Amino acid sequence: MRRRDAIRLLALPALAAAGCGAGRGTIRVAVVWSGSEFTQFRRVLRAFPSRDRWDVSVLSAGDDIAALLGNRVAGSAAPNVALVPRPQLVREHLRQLMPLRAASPDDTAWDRLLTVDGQVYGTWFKVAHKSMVWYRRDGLGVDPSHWEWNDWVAYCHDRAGQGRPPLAIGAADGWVLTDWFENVLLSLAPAVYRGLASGARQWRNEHPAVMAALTRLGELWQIPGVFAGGAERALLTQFDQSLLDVFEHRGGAMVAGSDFAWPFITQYTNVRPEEIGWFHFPHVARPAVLVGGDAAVLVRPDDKDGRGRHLIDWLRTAQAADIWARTGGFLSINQQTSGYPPALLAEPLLNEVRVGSGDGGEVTFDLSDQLGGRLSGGEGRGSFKIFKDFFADVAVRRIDVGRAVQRALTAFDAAEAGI
Amino acid sequence: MTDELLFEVAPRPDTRSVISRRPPLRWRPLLLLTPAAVLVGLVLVLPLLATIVVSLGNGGGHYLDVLRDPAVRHAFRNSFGWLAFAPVVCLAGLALARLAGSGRRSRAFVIGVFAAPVAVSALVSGMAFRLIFDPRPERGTVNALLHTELPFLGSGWIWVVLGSAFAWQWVGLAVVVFQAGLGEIPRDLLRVARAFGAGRMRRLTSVIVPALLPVAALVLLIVLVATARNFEMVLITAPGSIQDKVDVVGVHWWRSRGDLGDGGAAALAVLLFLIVGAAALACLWGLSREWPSTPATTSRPSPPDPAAASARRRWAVRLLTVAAVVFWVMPLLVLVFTAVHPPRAAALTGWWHGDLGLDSFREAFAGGELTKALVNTGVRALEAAALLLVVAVPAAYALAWGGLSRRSVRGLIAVAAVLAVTPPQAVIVALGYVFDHLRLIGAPTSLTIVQAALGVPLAVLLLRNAFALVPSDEVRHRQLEPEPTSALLAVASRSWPAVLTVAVLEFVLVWNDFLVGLLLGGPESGQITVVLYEQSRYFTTTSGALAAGAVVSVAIPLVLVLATGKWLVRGLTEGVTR
Repeated sequence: MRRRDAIRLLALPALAAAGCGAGRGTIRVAVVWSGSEFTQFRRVLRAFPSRDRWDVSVLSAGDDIAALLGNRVAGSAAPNVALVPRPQLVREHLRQLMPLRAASPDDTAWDRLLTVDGQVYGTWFKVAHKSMVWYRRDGLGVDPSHWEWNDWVAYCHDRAGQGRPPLAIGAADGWVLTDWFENVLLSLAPAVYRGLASGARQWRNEHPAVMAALTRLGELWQIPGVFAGGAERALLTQFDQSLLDVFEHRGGAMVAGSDFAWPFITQYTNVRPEEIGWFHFPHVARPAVLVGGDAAVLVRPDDKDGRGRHLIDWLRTAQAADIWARTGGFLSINQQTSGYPPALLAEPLLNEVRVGSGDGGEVTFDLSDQLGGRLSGGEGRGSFKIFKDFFADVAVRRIDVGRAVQRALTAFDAAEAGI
Repeated sequence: MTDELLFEVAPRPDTRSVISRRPPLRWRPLLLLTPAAVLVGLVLVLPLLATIVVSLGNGGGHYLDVLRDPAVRHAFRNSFGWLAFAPVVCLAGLALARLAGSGRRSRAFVIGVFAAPVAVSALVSGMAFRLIFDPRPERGTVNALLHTELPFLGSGWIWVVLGSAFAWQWVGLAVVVFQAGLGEIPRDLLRVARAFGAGRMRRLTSVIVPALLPVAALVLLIVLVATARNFEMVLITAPGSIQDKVDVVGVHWWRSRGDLGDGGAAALAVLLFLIVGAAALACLWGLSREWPSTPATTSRPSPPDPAAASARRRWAVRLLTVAAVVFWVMPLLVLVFTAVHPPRAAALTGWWHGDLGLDSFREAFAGGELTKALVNTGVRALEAAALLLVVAVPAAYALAWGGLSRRSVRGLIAVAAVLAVTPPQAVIVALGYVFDHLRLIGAPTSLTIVQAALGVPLAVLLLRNAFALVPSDEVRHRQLEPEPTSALLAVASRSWPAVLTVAVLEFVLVWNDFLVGLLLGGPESGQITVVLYEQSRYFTTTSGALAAGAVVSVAIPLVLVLATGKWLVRGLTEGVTR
C-alpha cells in the first residue's frame, strides 16, 4: 500500500453536507498527491482546454490526514472532483457521488471496479503497476526476465555470498514491506488475498496461506548480506533513498517497487535511461499483477453547467494522460496514450495492467489499502507496524523465521480482534 | 522605592484601603475580564469539559481500556521521559548562563546565538537534525565527521537526535532568562552570606537557588509545555519504521484515534491534560514563592568579579564559547547550505559537497502553495497577536489592579496557568465538531480565533506580572479620573516590553504552529509548517526543496525575535525578577 487513505475521511463525507459549493467559476479538485506527483497533476490541469471558462484549483488533502477522524474539508472548499486512490471509497461514499454513466456490457474490469447498481461512478485517470523490480542493466550479469521466486532467491544467495549485496529496500516506508508481502501472497493464494481484501475472509482463519507467504519473505530477507548497507540501515531507508542506493551509489543491484519509481531514478540519479531495467516481481506460484490507481469521481452536487463532469471528461483523454506519462511514473488505461518514456518499455506493463491478473482478468488492488480498523496502515501502526516488526525480527535481529512468522500471525490476530 | 518585595509575584497593592475608598467600581474588573473569559471559555473550557464528559461516558471504563493498551503505555513512558528531560534542559541553560556571565555584550551575544532557535519551529528543527544525523556518511554531517556509519535514526540513537533537536531549540531560552535572573541577585546578599562564613556551596543553596527559583519555575514551565506538546519534531525526525518506538501520547492520540474510539481518545487527551496541568501547577507554586525582602535600592546587577577570572580560565571559557556557538549555529547553517544546492545534489550528497544553485528554492515555490502559505500564516499570526492583545491586556489589568480579592486573583492565576498548558488534543475534537456544523473549518477567521484563545492564558499571566510592578501611585490617581481607560492605558504603556513580548510570542507561536493547523485547518488553511510537512514524505529526494522552504519560513520569525530580543528578555522576566 502506499499513502493516502485521506480522501476516504477527508474529502467525501463533508462534501455533500457543504451547502456553499465551489466559488463562482472555479472547478475545485481534491487529490491525495503531494510533492512531485502534485506538481505533475498541476501540469496536467494547466493544459485543461476549458480554463477560459473556469479556473481550476487543486488542493492536496495530504498524506496522514486520515488519522484525523473528525476533520473535514471546509464547506467552502467542497471540491467538484476528487481523485480517489481506491475503488472501495466509491462504494462507501455513494451518497456523496454522482454517477457518470450507466454500465454497459463492454465495460472493462477496471470500469466494473467503479460500478455500483448499474451505474459507473468514476473514471481511472492514473493506474500503477506494483509488481516490478528495478535493476541496473550493467549490474546484474544475467537476464532476470524469466526469473521465478526460487531463481531470484538463489541469485541473491550467491551474490550476497560474494559480499556484493543484491538488494536495496526502503523498509522505513511501511507500504514497501506490505507490497512485498502482497506480491508473494497474491501469487501463492489469490483467493485468500481477495478474501482478506474484501473482508470476506479473516486473518485468523487463513494462517496457512499467510504463513507460507511470510516464510518465503523471511527466507529471502534473512540471507546474510542481502541488503545494501545492512539490514539495520535498510530499516532507516525510505523508498526514494533505496532507488538512489541502486542507481547512484551502486550499493545494491535491484530494488522492488512500482512504476512510479521511474521519475525518482531519472531526476535524482546520473544513470542514463537505457541503463534502467525492470523485471516482473518473480512469482512464487501463479503469475500475479498487483495494481493501484486513482479514479476521478464527481462530487454531488455538480454545478448546473456541469463543470466537474467537463473536467473528468478531459482527464479521461489521451492528451491529458500524455502530459504526465512523458515524465514516467504514470500509466493510463487509455490505449491512445503514447507519451511514455521509450526507455521505460511500458508496453508489457500496460498490457498487464489493462487485463489484470491472469485468472479471469481480475484487477487486484493493493491489500493493505483495503484493511480497516487496527489493521489499517499508517507509519508506526497497523499492518505497517506488523510487517516492520517482522522485517526487524528476521533481518536485523535475525531470529528464527518460524518464530518471527508466529509473532506476526499473533499480531495480525490481535489487531483483527481489536486488542 | 516601591518595590518592597524583590521577587514577589503575588498582588502588590494593599487592596483593602482602596476598596473602602471606591466601592462602586467593583463591577469594572469583571467587565475587563469578560472578553478573555468568553474567548477562553468558548474555545478552551467548554470543549475541554466536553472532552471530559465524553471520556467518562463508559463510567471510567475508557480510562481502564486506554491504560491497558500496551502501545498507549509505551507512549506514556516516552512522554514522561520527555517531561523528565525538561529539567535537564533547564540545568544546561543555567550552566551556560553562569559561563556566559551577565555583561551587556555577553547578553546581546547570548540572545543572538542561543536564543535564536526559539524562533524556529519544531518541525524545521527536527528537519535540520535529521539532515545532520543522516545515517549515510555521504549525507549525514556527524557520520561524515566521525568517519563512522552509526545508525543515527535507529531505535536507540534516535533519542540522541531528538534530544539534541529539542535542547537546541530550548536551552537558549533558559540561558537568556537565567542570565537575567543571575544578574539580578543583590550583591549585598551574597556579600552578607560570605561575611557570615557561607561557603560556595552554601551560598549556592541558600542565596542563589532560592533567588532563582521563580525564574527557574518560569523556564521550567515553558520547557515542560514544549515537551508535552512535542509532536511534529517526532513526526519529521524519525523514519516511519521508528515511529512506534518514539511514539508520545500526543502523537499516539492523533494516529490511533480511530482504534481507541471517541471515548478512549477523549480519555487519552484528558490524561495528557492532567499530566501537563499538574506539572504547570507545580511550577506555579515555584513562581509564587515569595522571597525574603531586602531594600530594593541595593538591587543592582552584580558586575563580574574580575579578579576571579584567571587567564587560563578565560581561555577555557573562550574555547567553550566557540564550541557552543558552532553547535548552536550549525543546524541553521546546514539548512541554508542544503537549500542552496539543487535538489539532485541535495539528495545525493551532504551540504558541504556538490554544485550550488537556487533550483531548490525554485522547486519549493513552484506550485505556489508555499507562497500562499507564507502569506496566510503571516496574516493569521498578525491577526491572532492583535486579537490576543485586545483581549489579554484588559484581563491582565483587572487581575493586577482591578481590586479583586487576593484569593480570587490567586484562583484565576491558577486557572490561567492550567489553561495555558492545555494540549490542543484535549479541545480539538469538540471544536472540530462545532466548526464542522458551522462550516467554519478552513475559514481563516476560525483558526485565528482558536490560535488567539490558546495564547490568552499565558499572555494574561505574563502581562499581569508586569502590570503589577507599575508603581501604585501612578495607577491609583488615574483610576480616579473620569476617563475609565486612562489607568489601563497608563499601565500598559508603562509595561510596554511585556506587551511587546506577548505580541511577538503569539506571532511566533502561531507562525510555528503545526498541530492546530493540521487538526483544524484542513488543506485550505495553508499553515506553513503543515505545507512543509506534507512535502516531506520522501525525505531524501525532497531535502533540497524542504530546506529551501524551511529557510524562508524561519527567516521571518527569526528576524522578529532577534530584532526585539533585548525587550523580550525584559518582558519575559519582568515580574519574576526585577
